[in-house]
Amino acid sequence: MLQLTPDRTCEILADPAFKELVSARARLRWTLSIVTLIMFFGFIALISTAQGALGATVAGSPMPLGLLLALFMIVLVVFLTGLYVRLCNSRFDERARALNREFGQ
Amino acid sequence: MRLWYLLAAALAAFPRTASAQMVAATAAPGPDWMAIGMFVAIIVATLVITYRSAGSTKSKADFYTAGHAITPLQNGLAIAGDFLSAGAFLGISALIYANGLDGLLYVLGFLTGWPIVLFLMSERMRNLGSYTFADAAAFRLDRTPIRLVAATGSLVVVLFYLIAQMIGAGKVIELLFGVNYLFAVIGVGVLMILYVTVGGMQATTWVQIIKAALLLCGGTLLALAVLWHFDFSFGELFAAASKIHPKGSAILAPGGLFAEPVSAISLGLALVFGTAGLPHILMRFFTVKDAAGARKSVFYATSCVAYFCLVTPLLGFGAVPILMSDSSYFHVGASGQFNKITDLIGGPNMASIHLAHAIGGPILLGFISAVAFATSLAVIAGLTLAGASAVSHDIYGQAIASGRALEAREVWISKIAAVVIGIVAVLLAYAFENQNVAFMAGLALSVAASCNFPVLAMAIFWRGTTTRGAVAGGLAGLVASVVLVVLSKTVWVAVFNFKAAPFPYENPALFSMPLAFLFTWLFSVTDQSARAIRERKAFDAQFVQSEIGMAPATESRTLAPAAS
Repeated sequence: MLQLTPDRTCEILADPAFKELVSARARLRWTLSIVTLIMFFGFIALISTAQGALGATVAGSPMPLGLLLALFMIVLVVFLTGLYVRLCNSRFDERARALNREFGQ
Repeated sequence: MRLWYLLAAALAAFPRTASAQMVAATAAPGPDWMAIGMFVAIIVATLVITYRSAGSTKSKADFYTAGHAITPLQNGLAIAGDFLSAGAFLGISALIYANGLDGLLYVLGFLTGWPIVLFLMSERMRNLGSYTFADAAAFRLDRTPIRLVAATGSLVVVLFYLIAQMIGAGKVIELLFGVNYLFAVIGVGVLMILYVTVGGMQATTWVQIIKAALLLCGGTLLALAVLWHFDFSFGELFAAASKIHPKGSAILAPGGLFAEPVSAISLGLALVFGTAGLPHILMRFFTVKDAAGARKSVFYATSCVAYFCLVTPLLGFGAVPILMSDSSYFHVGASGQFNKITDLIGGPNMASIHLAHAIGGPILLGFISAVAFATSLAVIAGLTLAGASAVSHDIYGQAIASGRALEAREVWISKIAAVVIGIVAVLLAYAFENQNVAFMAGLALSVAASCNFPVLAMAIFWRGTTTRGAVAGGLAGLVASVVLVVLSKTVWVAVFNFKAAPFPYENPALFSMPLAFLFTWLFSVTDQSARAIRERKAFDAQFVQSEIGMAPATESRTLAPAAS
């Protein structure tokens, strides 16, 4: 268990390994979040502006474009969450545990 | 004692089956023994689980979080179970049945909330808290006011969400057994109180897992049956649907429901950020061992939800040509005319239930009804547990007794709260009988996005947040969202029977969520009290804890000086 006295907290915050872990993880988290949000609110923008285009059928497919886009987004969401879990497992977990051990004494 | 409870519940769930059969003989599709058998099997199975887990639920940690010992896969399924409510299963297919492609926006919104929860909230939550999300929000802030706000927000969300689920469950029972809707919701209420008070989180989790599995199988089965009906040709399915639907080929294009961008964006905000503020979902992050477990469980949950989102549109679109061509599923007027949407027996929410009967006969009907019922029941149990813990852990245990409450007493209060919440939910479900359940769930999400989410996000992410700011922001968001819902068409016109609604949009989140953030900011930056200075200083420690602090196993706070 971490005992976060003020001194200990400053020490951890100044630790290069901690800084690097936190900023790398924050980059990943915010990038993925922003991609997701842009995708979703972009879809809403399309729904309220380009209704005709979304209702049109794509050549060679029986489904309207809007439905295809929605299905694609569903698959993409799973891909993004999977990617995040994979990257965290392989890149961040061990480092976070090591830091926790180092400062948890 | 406990056995007596179980017996009473079993009786309450089947009020006068024989007479129900006579009443319903005139209405199609009446009760049949196959369906009733499926029902009994599922309810008995869940009651047995509840009874068994009652033995292993002793401490407070057991009751609230199943001792933090649920595995990520189990928890992922349970989260999916919590989330794939009757609102999703019945409501979304009903929306697609009635409006076509527009219903998909709900599907996408429900799903898009998940990656956001995963990327930004779940791991930090697990590192900071132990029982309810208020633990994390109050980590460095003054526990009493923060918990009061968080608990109030949670209770309002839980009640809104409960209404949606109880309508779904009540309607399924009414349709299948022909009993009065009021008796149906009372039966549901009795069962839900039972699961929670006897079994706690352990039972609730298992009920969720079973239900999630059943729902995924049931949905798949139904979707395959629809595809088989149309020779596995999407072209034929969509052609048939747009030919018979009153809106014609417009159902294949977005339109009507979200033609106006303000409502669409508002709903989108509520769906995406509301998920990150749902107390019964956030609570699930504490049932696993650590942050990595929380992360994995969200991935499993997202996969299940996504699969379900791929399947549900098929049910909605499939129901259109299959049901609309058969007048026996509608209340037919004297002239032989019927409205293909509103005259559906049991309301449009029952579209997938009728679909099961139309393509699979009584056996599939029984199975799907039982699944839909189990779905509602499980979500209802999860919600009630979250509401009850808001009362007992946050209000009683932490705010009133300052963390020194006796465990047994806290659990006991939680059970009382579950009973009260159950009764209130039954009454509200009766008042809102004919609302679309996905829509009601959307309203619950907008309250969650306007109160719980801003408080939590600001407390976790912004150094400047103080107790005064968080309380002001949370209350502003809560009051604004509830007032705007009351002033909107749903309540003002449909419940109070006024002519025109003062608030022209259906969903308040676009206004109430920014308001909550604004108030939090404003009342924080102007707060120069000693407490505020201490709280800002404590942000560093909270930050470290949320990044690399492994889950605190007990209530003991790592931040004693700042929190006192």
